[in-house]
Amino acid sequence: MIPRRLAKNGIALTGIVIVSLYIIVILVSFFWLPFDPVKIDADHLLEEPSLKTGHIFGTDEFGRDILSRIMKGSLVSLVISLSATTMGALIGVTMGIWAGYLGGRWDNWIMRIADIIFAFPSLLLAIFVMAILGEKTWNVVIAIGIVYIPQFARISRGAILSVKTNEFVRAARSNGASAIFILYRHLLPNILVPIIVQVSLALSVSILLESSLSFLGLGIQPPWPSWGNMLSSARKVMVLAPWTAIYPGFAIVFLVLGFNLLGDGLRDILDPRLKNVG
Amino acid sequence: MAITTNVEAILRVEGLVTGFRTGGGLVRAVEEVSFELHRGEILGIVGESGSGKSVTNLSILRLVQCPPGEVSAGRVLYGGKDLLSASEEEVRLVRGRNISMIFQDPLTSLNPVIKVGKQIAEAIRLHHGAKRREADARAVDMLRLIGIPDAERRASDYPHQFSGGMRQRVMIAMALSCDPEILIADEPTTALDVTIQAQILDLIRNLSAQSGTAVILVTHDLGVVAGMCDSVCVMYAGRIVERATVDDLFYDPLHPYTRGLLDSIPRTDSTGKERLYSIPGSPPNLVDLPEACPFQPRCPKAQEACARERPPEVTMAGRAPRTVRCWLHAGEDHHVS
Amino acid sequence: MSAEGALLEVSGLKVYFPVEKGIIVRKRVGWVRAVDGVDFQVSRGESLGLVGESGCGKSTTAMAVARLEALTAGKVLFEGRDLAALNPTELRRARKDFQLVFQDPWSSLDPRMRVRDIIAEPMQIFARRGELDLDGAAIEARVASLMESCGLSKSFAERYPHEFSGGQRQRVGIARALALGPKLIIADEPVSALDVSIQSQILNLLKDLQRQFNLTFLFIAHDLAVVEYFCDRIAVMYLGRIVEIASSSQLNHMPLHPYTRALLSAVPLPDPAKERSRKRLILKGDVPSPSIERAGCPFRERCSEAMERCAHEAPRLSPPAPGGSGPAGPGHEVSCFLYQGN
Repeated sequence: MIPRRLAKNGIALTGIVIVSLYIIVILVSFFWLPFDPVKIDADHLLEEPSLKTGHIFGTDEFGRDILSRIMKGSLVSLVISLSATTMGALIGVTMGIWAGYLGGRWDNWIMRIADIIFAFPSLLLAIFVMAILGEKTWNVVIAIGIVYIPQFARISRGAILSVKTNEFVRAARSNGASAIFILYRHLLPNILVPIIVQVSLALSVSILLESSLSFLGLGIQPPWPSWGNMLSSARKVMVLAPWTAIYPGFAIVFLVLGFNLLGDGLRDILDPRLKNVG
Repeated sequence: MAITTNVEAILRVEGLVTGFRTGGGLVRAVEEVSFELHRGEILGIVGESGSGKSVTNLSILRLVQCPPGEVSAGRVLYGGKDLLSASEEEVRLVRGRNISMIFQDPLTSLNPVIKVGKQIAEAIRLHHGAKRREADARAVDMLRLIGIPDAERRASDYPHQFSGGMRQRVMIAMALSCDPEILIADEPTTALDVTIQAQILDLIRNLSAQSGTAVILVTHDLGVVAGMCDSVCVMYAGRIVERATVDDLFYDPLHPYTRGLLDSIPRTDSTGKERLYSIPGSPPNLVDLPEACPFQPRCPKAQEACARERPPEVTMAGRAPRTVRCWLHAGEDHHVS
Repeated sequence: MSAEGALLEVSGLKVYFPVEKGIIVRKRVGWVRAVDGVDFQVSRGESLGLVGESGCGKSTTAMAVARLEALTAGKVLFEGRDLAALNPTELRRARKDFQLVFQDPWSSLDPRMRVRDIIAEPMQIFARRGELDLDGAAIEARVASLMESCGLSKSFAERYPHEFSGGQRQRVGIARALALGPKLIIADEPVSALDVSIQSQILNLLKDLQRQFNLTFLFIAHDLAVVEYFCDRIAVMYLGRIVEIASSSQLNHMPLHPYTRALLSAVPLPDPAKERSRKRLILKGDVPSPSIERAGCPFRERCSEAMERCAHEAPRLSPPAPGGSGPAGPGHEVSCFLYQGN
């Protein structure tokens, strides 16, 4: 059983615990934050982390509480990376499975489009898209989503190519099943494992991408916090007040690590070769 | 050739036990397997998938992956030494030089990026320490010997330029290049077509007759056994259930499994179209086998004793290597201990 | 054999695969002639075996008959209707009458589906389009009866394929093939992936089902002994063509074509005395590549009796001329100049 194997797999379990921690933080942030994350407080500029003042992660150059901003920013980061990954996965997988199943000329055209997207470095591509679309929150989702399309297209196409040689596909064709039926009923369920693993790895990279865009001033716009723009504004005061950079950076690293562990663990757990055992 | 007991065996396997640890438990792949091999003899090991016939041979040369595999008991006596307790270095010297192996899939057994002649020459240099030039010449000789036309030119071809049958010939050339005493052929013709199979079997038979190399031929095809072997071990669920000369086995099978197997093969030399016999059920799961005869659930002659206890290996009177593991013959033991 | 009795009539069947080169601009540089002009008929209730070695085109022939492979040329008349000329909708409806049993019991069942759903699927596909008048309960009942016919215990219905052995999986595949009540079963090497003791179980099951459901078989195998046991007639293929066709006992006892003779003599017999005494015809060399365009008889390079004529002219499949070696039975045809006058 998968839940039992999950419990036995330390890597996946660690990943799940980390990701759940973030989700708890987000849920809490809906109802309670230690301070207002956007209110400027001129009396407490760049305060060191201290329990006495209540600013346990310190304050930034506008006197805003870093912990509150990280908590608020975690919602933004997580929602953006989830939506972007979902978008990339939906479009990429659709392209990939049709290319793989139809083959021939279709395959050639679809995959060449994917290759063109793939040819640009991901951050550069995201910046390019943002420059065209303008700096809006949902445009960040689109920019990051586009980056993922070719990755998902490639992975799902490769998986389809190997699964479609199975004779059960021929059996379904000989029963008059349509291409859509074969693709979505027989083939897609059999390639879900690599796609799920890729999703969890993509989530971690999109956290980084979102942070990078915000860092460059193209993502979430101040005063609304995101981990990326927190780092960006910390640049100027980092030497004076290192906590302004350390805590948001730590929030990014920790979540990226969580998603990566989850992806690695899932890959082991969902490996069909282990299916008969345990 | 006729086998007589007074010829000294060159390989003697005694009470071999090999198991694999898996998530589901201990798989007893080989259980108390004993047999001997004489000079120039072709010994067949037949059985269905999972009967332990391949693992037996891998165990002999200590090629079982460990873990999860483990050879936990038995002796393999070759050249006055027990290969199972010998040092890794000693066994390595035996492999390839004295005992060679060929496998089912000739494509994956050859290195795709090295020329065929080089691969054979390397095997020769490795075991004989021959000079490069000498080894190259001998490789071409070997290719010629195994019937590859235009051997000089073909020696500088890569494996993918050879057909399946040709590749298997190359494997045989490599295996025989060091004049081994024993050749272990594990399903050497299973991946090949019948007409090519006939060529390869013919080649093995002739080479064995010429050089006196003893052959252990692992196969699932009783027809191949009938045409090639002097004596046969029939394996089921990790055990040798019957061991006999080829004539005894085909004309007077003792174990119900052997009999069932012989009756269930369609044959081109049958006269009528009588319905084939089929052994009911499927082979047992080798994890946690009960203390019973493993064939008992499928056996038409099963008795009460069969479900209670494993049958002992009974040595039958008469021509040399005749043993059977079956309660039907338990009272006929002529073994003199 | 009269044409009225034929359920399936294949004529002039050719399947060529293009050989392409180039990465961006693909250019056709030649053809692989997998099936190169095949004619045969299968009567109702009969089993015709197609035998030959790998690459002879037997499986491609089967897939072309099942319209799972595109035809390059030729006709496939099923009950007098040319399957090659049907439009997609007509073809889909026609599929009910001819079903496949596959070679590999591991890849022919979707690992993520329960046995019950695997067997029910063909019926569900047809019922959903209103082309089969069965409701959910009727399908359920039919699945149960099919499982019983195929020797599968009721308790297997809720299980997944990986819980079964090869033989049991093959039974599931056979039950699926029977679900729509087909007239023709195209069995592509149905027992070659199975162990000896399981092989005879499946062969006997297929024979019982043939009687029970009045099935016609197109049976593809490389093992002559299996085909001989199962089929009424046998067609031997070599390099995309049929070289000899005859009743199975005729073919076995009086093979005419040099290739058939070599093939038969290469089949090992499970009888040591016969094996020792028999004279083996060992063929030279390998099968040539089917992508080379060739004149003359496809077998001539490996044939011990090749004549000058064989290099220029391709022999046609026809009844042997009288005065040959012994009497040929009715329907015995061979494609070799040895048996053709002038």
